[in-house]
Amino acid sequence: MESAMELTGRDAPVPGAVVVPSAWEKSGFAALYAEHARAIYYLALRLLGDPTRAEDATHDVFLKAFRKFDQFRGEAAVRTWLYRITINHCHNLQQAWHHRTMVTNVEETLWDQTPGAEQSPLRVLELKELGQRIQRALDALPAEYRLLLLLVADQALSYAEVAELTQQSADAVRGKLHRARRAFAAVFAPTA
Amino acid sequence: MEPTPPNPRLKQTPAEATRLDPLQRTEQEGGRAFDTPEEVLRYDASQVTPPPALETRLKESVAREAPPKLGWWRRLFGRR
Repeated sequence: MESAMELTGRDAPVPGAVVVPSAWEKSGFAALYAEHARAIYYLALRLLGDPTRAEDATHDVFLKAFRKFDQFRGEAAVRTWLYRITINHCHNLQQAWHHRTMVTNVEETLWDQTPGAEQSPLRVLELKELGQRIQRALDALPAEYRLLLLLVADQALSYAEVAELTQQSADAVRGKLHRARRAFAAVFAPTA
Repeated sequence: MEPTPPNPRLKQTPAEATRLDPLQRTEQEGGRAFDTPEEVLRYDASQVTPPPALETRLKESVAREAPPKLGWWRRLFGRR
């Protein structure tokens, strides 16, 4: 009884205390987070180019989704719905920042927190370097191509869903995707 | 110009990407070869995990969002 009262309280959680909000579990949101957090965080990371901002953005995206979760009717796939929130949120953040923070400012931290703890230092270094190169290549692309490639890389999405998310036809997606691939290759390969 | 794939699912894109052929073996990283930008990004995505603290932080935020479920007696007597 005491723990239930603590859980429903509005005070800040006691450090070290186990926080098990009933809304998180009962709403099914825990399962939703488990299934989609990785994809949402990755999209935010590559759109924003900074792990800390990506973490903040992912938090805000899921919080927005939670607030509207009871209104979600399932007309769209959950992944698509979450992507839409993410794209809009990141776009708003970028506009607010007024200019993109280029990867040179975040190179040292870009991958520090992402590789698994079990990976060897050499492997971590490889991943860090690859991540930096990918980020540089994406940053060099027009925003439309960057988003298109990131969405298409997610095999959970269909062309129709990518088209819906980018507000164009599926044929337009295919045409631009062709150019986006070439643009990415042109930037990515020379940096090897 | 490009023929429309019969199946719109992107799971079919490797074949299409190979046909488009925008980059051949763009990158080799640790013995791994990538044929398309999508493969590069998929591999990249597979190596990225959200910070563990994010879930805890989100749970706390959700807990604050959720309206406290007060019993009628608490609402009636207004214990705070």
